[in-house]
Parts: sequence; structure tokens; C-alpha cells
Amino acid sequence: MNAQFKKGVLELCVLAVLSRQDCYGFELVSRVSHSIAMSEGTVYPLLKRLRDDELLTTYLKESMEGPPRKYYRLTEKGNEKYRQLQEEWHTFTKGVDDIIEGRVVQ
Amino acid sequence: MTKGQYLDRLSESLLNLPEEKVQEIIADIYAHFEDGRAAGISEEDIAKGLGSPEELAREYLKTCGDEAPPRQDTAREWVRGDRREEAYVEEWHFSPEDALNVALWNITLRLISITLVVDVHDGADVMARFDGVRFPNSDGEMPYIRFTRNGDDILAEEIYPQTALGGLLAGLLGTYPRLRGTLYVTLPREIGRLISNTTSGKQLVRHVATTEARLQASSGAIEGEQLTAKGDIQVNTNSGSQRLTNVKGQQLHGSATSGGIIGENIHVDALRIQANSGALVVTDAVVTGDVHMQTSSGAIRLSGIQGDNLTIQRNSGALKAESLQAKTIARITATSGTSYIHGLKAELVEIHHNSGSLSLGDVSFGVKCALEATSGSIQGENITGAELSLRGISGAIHLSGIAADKVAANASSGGIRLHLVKDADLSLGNASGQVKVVMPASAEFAYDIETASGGIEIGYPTKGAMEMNKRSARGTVGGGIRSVKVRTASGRVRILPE
Repeated sequence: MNAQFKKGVLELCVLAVLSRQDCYGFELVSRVSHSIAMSEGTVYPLLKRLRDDELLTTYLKESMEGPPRKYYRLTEKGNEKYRQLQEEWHTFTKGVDDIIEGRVVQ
Repeated sequence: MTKGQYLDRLSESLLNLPEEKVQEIIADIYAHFEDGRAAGISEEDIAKGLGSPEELAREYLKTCGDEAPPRQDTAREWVRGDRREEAYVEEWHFSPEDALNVALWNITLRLISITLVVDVHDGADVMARFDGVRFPNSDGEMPYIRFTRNGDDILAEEIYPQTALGGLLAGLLGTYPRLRGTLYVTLPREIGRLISNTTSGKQLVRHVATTEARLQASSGAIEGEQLTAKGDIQVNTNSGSQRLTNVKGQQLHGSATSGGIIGENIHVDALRIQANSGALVVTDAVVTGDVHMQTSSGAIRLSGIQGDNLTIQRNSGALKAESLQAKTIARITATSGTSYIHGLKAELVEIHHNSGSLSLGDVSFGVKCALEATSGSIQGENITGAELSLRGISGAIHLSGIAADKVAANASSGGIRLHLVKDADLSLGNASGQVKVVMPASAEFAYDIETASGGIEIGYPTKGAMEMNKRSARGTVGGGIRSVKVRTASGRVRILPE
């Protein structure tokens, strides 16, 4: 799939994962990048931007394996953004589907 | 690509960003590597998954390249992020202008200029490391650590009851794996284990009483002073040097790859010090068990070392030692480079030298002293003990002030010159080169000397000479109590009274 296209939906994917559960970096990156087959390296800069934009917040949590981990959590603003992006996505994909399935009236 | 290479290239590509941001990014990627490794993925594969460090850096630069300086409230966000910790925020003691977040940020990011003093209660385990700092007590609980400012220093105090705030602090510190600065731990009372691990910062550990200490640094130096452990102390540096002063414990194990090691005033049960290319300098070590010192190309300088068995191994660096004392065996081996040993006492002394010369003074031994040199010379004075065995392949042997019961010397091509202050049984062999032995005038011995060429001279009044010519001589001096036997291929043989 086109890389630019993927990048566009990456933000939505990250917000979606975090809307269900707080995650630490590796966990989040693994989930997202495996599902949509993209470089893990693109996720971290995005996380940084989302945090700078106050859509995410971070906190530290003890881990069994080693030093405390930095967890990412969706803020209220992030949640709103997620809902908005989700709606846009559904509208968009529905539109695309309609075209593909030939439901669009010429 | 390894984690280290990846992070190096990444931070190089992020040079345009403020240091704080770089630290944060590096910390995130570092954690990614750590978590990936914990999940069983190789560093190589993790690096591949992330894409090239330069590409990653470009993504970051796009995200935050032209932004305003980092906001000061980031640390506060982190603190607030976890509800558990929130309650304690008010207990952080800073004057209003030194807002908590700023101070925290300073500790986290500017350890270069700030001294962090950590004071932990009795019996707690202390683990301090730049790439994952934690301070749990022996029950694994995180103590609550309060910070106060004292001039340029940040004083961190452990406050009862224990809470998870210590862990939070640890996390904040621990998130920055590439801090270059000084980790300064002052622990005036007894603590549990002390474990520290720094990448490039310098560690100063002073006045610490602990059950066990493990100090590690990859490129920075470690300085330990007044360090006492009930158990073992391990100090490990790579390119940094280490200086250990006033150290007490069970086993002290210091090792360095290219940095030097300096030890002073050490009281331990066992001492093991290994340097590779760095020098090794140890002064005043009292060890109840064994002492082992080793270098590859670095020089060794020792003074005032006591132990049960004493082993010194070196390759090409020089050795200068004064006042060595081993209850049982003192064993010194060297490949090349000179050894100068003045003042050595042991039951058994073994010195093996390859090409460098060996110079000895004031050596006393109970049972046996074996000195061997392949191509270098052996020289020395005041050698006292029961049995002295000398072996030189091409170098000369020249010893004076020998007080031994039995002396055996073998040289291939160098000459042998011995000065005995006490008569002894002598057995000397030489392929080429002269043999000269000076003994007390009162010595009484039977001699048996053979040389192919060069002649024989016996400086004592001889009675009952059985044979006396240029090639062999046999006879008795006085009552013939001792035996003097010399065999040489070529070279003059002289046995002379003092």
C-alpha cells in the first residue's frame, strides 16, 4: 500500500489502540506496525507529535522486567480527535466502497 | 546494527534538536530496543524494524524541528500522569521559583553540573544506574525520595513511609540512557546492595557501607572512596579508569579494558585486579586470601601488598614492586618488559620471565625460590632462604648477597656470577660464559668442576686434590661439608673466597 496513504491512517490507528488501553512504546508500535505493515520507526515520531499536540499524555509504570516503562494514554482531547478521525475514516471508506462496489450513481 | 550503533547514528542525526529532546528521543528508542530484546527479538531485527536511524531522525525533525523550546511542564505532566503519585506532588520541597517540574527536569537532563546526593535508610538495596535508575528496598518497595536544593546540589532524602515516588524518580532518571554526567552517591549509613551502571558518566561512590557493591561504567571513570562491603565488591570499567581508596570487603574484583586501575589502602579477603592496556597501581593492600594482578600491556606498580598466594601476570608492561608479602606462594610471570622487585617475602617464590630483565632486591623465602628468564638477565642482591634455583637461557645471572642452603643455577649462554654470604651446596651448569662464585673464606666444601675450555681457578687452599688441570678439578676445602659442582661447556670457572 502507498506509504503516504499509510501515514495518514497511522494516527487513527494509534489513537484507536490507545482508546482501548494504555500502552508502552514497544507494545503500541508492535501492534500498529504489524497490522498495517509499516516501519516501526514512523510510529515514534508520531507519538511525539501527538504528545506535543496534547492528544496523548505519558506516565511511568513499574514493570516486572526492568526499569519503569513510559506508558501512553489518550487525553480527552485525544479522544475527541479519535472520534472525529474515526468518523472521517468511515465516511471516506464508505465512499470508496461505494465506488468500488458500483453503488455510486454516475 | 547493534543498539549502540543505532542510537549513536540516531543522536548524530538529531544534532539540530535541543539536547533535552535528543535525550528523550534516544530514551524512547532505547526502551524500544530493551522491550524488543525482552520479547526475544535480536537487536539486528529491532533495528531493521525501525528503519534507518537517519530516516527516523528525519521523521522526528519533521515533527518537532522548528518548535519552540521544550515546555517546562513536561515533568509535571509525567508526575500527574500517574494518579498514584499525584498525592505526593505537594510534598516536594522547592521554593516557588524552583518549580518541581523545572527541578526534576534539571536532575534528569543536567547531571553534568548537578550533584545528586542520595541518602537511603539502613538495609535498603540501592540500585543506581543512568539507564534505568531504581531505588527499591530489600522488600522490593520503592522508597519515597524527597528533593531539596542545597546550593548547586540536589539533596535527595528518603522519607518514611515508603511510596512509589522513588520509583517515579527512578523512572525519570532511567528514561535517559545516554546521560553524560556524574552520578554521585553518598550513603553515610549502611545500605543493602549498591549496584550502579553508567554509560559515559563518571561515578563517585564515597563513604558507603553496603552488603555488596557492583559498579560498572562503559566509558566513564569510577572513583570509590571509603567503600565497605560485607560481601564482594566488583568494579568494572571499559575505557574509563578506576580509583579505589580505603576499600574493605570480602572479594574485591576490579577490571578495566583500556583504563588504568589505582588501588590504595585495601583490606579484603581476596583481591583480583585485571587491566588490559591500562596501568595497574596498587598501594597498601592487606589481603587475607589470594591476590591476583594481571595486565596485558599496561605497567604494574605495587607497593605494600600482603596476601596468602600472590600472583602477578603481565605481558609487556613493566613491573615495579616494593614490599610484597605472600604467606604461601608468590608467583610472577612476564612475557617481556623489565621487572624490578624490591622486598619480596614468601614460602615459595616463582618468577618466570621471558625476554625482559629481572632485577631483585631483598627477597626472603622459606622453602624455595625459582627464578627463570629465557632471554633477559637475572640480577639481584640479598636473597635469603632454603633452596634457590636459577635458570637463564641466554641472559646472564648475577646475584649477590645470597644466603641459602642450596643453590642451583643453569644458564645456556650468559655467564653466572654468584656472591654467597653463607656457604651452600652449589650445583651450576653453563653452556658458554664464565662462572664466578664468591663464598665466605670459612667455607668448607668438596668441589667437582668440569669445563671444556677456559680454565679453572680455585681460590681456596685445597687439600687432597684428586685431579687438577685446565679442564677438570676435584678436591676438598676444609672438612668438605658442602658440595660444589660445576659443569660448563666453555668459559672460565672461578671459585673464590671473599
